[in-house]
Amino acid sequence: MSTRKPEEDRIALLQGTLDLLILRTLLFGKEHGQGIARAIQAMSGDELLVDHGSLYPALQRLESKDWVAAEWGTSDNNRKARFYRLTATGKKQLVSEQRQWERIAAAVARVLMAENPAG
Amino acid sequence: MWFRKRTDKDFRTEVESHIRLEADRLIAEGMPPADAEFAARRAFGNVALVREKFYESRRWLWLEQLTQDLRYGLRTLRKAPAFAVAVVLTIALGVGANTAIFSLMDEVLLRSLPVHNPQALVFIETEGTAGSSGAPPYPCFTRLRAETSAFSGIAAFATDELRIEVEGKPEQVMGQVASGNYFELLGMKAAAGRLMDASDEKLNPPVAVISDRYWRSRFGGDPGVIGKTFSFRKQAFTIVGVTPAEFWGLEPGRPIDITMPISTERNLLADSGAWWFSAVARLNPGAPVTVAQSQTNAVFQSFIADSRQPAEMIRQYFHHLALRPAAQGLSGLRTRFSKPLYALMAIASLVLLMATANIANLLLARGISRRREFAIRLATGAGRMRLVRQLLTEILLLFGLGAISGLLFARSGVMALELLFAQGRRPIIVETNLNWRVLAFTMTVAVAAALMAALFPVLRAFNTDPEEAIKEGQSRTSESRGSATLTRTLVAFQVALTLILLVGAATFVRTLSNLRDVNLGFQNEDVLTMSVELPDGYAQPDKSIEFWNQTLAAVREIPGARTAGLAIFTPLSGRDRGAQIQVRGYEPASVNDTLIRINHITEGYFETLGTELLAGRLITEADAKGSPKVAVINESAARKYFANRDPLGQSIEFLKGRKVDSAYSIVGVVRDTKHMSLREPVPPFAFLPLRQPRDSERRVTLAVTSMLPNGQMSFLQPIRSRIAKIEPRALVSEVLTIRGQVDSTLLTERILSQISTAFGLLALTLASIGLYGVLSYHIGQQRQSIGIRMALGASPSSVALNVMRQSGVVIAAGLLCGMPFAYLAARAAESMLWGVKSTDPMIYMAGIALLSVVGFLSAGLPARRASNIEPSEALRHG
Repeated sequence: MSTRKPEEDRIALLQGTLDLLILRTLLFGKEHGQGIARAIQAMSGDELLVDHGSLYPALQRLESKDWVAAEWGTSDNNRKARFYRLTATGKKQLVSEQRQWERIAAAVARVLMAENPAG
Repeated sequence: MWFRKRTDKDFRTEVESHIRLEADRLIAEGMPPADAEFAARRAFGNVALVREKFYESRRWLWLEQLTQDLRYGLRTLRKAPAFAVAVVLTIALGVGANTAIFSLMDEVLLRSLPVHNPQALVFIETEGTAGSSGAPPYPCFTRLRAETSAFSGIAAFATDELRIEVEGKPEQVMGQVASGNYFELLGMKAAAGRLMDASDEKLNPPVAVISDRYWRSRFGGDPGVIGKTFSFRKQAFTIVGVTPAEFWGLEPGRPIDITMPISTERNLLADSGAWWFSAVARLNPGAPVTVAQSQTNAVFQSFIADSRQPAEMIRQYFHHLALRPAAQGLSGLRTRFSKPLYALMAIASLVLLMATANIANLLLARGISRRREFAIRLATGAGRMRLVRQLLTEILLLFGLGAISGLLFARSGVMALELLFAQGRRPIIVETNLNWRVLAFTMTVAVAAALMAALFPVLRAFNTDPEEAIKEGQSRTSESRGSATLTRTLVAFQVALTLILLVGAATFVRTLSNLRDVNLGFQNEDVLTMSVELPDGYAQPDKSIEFWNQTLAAVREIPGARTAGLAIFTPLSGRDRGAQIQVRGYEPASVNDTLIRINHITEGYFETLGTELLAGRLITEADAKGSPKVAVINESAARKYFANRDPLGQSIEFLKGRKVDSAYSIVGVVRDTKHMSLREPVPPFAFLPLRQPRDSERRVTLAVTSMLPNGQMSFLQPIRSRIAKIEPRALVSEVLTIRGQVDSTLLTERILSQISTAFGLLALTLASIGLYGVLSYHIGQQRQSIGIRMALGASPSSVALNVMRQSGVVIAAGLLCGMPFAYLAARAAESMLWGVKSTDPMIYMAGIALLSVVGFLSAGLPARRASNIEPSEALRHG
């Protein structure tokens, strides 16, 4: 617990971004749910709050869209776990979603950085 | 695979494994194992909620809930089998009636010909003020083919009952002659062999095509039929092919057995005064009908100008050519049955409405007793929508079961109707089948009725207040004031519908009985008639007269035969013959006045029918070749041509063109006998001796009466064998009693009166059940208050009277509301009626009286029960 920020300091996830983050995490290879949650937290420098529970409906959704595929396997410490991996369509989706996200982020940033627009 | 069902258990395992892994991780980070598990769970959040979400995300959730609802619905129905059976039966009758009538409508009114692009087909018909009269004579038809460009093809065809010989045995078939391009124009492929083409018109050799129906019924579907021959007018025709099963010809209801090249009628082809066939044409793609119309009419006008027809005939019959849509075939059947079918459809819809109202009431009553169940389910967290869905599922289940049984009802009903149609001298063959239109109709009707019936129970389910309902206690179910009004309104509605149906039934029954009472002009309906047709080789009149003499003598010898006679046709047989005449001292005002119906008869004919002789004498055996030509006329002819004169001794001169061809002197006047229809006045008739024929007729009707009542049918075999002895190749067909013949002309009236009566009585039963149910239910509800009233001194009779008054109010309200609609219905049906008017009070009185009596009776039992309530008991048990 000591290594982690208190929960209230972390940013709640924007609607819809969870899917993108999950896809992105899986780009490095297959991973189980708990691993994905941990990875998102770690990669964001512990800035993002991922409610572990909310991960599963998202995974379910992605699976039903065929962007990820799942199968049971064994974790590093020999526990049974369900592993998710990106499918070909998932990869394509990741690319387009990432581009979309970058455009939004850049646009939002421009708005925030702008001087007096009227001047 | 698109359907990948993940089990709930699998998901639970995954969640558990997540928490396990997270705890492992936390322990590795240094957390004490006891805290780690807890922390992992906390980080996960609400496990139950996530599982619920997972459950709802599954694609087949609705299906699972549906099966759940269905299973639950079936269980509740099984707990109330009487209710379920009553409801399913009611729906089955309602939906079945609608399906049956609709499948007939579909077949008769809606179906397109099973040919290539039927929308581009037109019939070419001559029209005038008196109506349309088929295609113009063949010489004009040939010009139409040559001088128009709007069509990709024009074909002529004519149908008739024909006598052919197959393997030396005579038989009667529905025959057709058609242009060589007929099948090609229709875009048809042979089911076996080949169809006709233009080269077959050379009749070298003569070929014919048979229908699939005939192929199956006559040849048992034998593939060896191709190459077989039959003979027609001494010519051998080789069967070269079979038409597709779905093709019956271009006239619905009259399936064709055999098609031969039109050149078989070579005498008629050259005749520029004979109107004997129909013409069908296919419009070129993109060719406007108006252009085609003006092209054809231009040719026709130049033809008719050369024809030297009197101007009046042209105006009345041959004024112009019109193109009629041919997508549905010739319109005879549609014209005859469209009104009756719409009437039947209206009756069937009323019955279904009636059934629906009944079921709505039953459901309401049931809903009241299930209020507690719903309340508890609401209180324990069921969504209202889920509840409504459950209710709808149950109702749809009932209607689904009802619709399926209704389809079975409809099948047997339609088959009975098909049999009715197929009776008589000229049977109408319709073969309805369960196609997608009929199924879609049945489904739509069932769902619509289900939704109507479900409306009130669903609204109530929405308004259920769980607290209230549960508080009202276990033993009692109660009913609000509003729903009492609702159920009574529904019963009144049923009374109104029943009144409409009963009035409808009364008008149709009266019409039928009025028509049956119509004076036919002859006494005996128990006359056996049959058509006897001579083979080829009797062209000489003397030879055929010899045959008829022998036949009559042979038939009269049969033991039990009372009278026998011959005529070309008998009354109401649908056959008709006319000739142009002139009568000295009579000035015709129009061409129509020169037309008289003629029939050739022998002695014994009027005696057999029982037609009264009014003046002079009847035709005798002595009126034959060599003796003076004589005629007997009917009353109409006497009145028309000899207004103030004595017709006896006068003569009728028959015209051919404008010249007198033969003259017959009048020796007798007989009573008018109905001719084509019971509704029409009798036209002028001249009866000439069969032995003094104006033309040769190879087909004659034999009429016989028996000394025994109803014994006439037993003559059939002896007559057949005697005729076969005289001429084995003579064809006996169309065996029928005159009574049967009259019945077959009353086909639509019989169908209408039978069905409307059956449905009227069904509605009456439903209404009385409805009233009985509602009253009994109310009394059950009001037990306590009735008990209190009686304890306070109300007498049992006043209690009973009160119940009767309640039912009286409901019935009166229903009658009052139903009256205007019953009147409108009767008015809409007026053109189908005979001797009954929509303003006739009798047709309403019967319905009102019947409903009042039945209402009174069905209120009696509940009223008695109410008056027998024991106040002390009612108060104690509630």
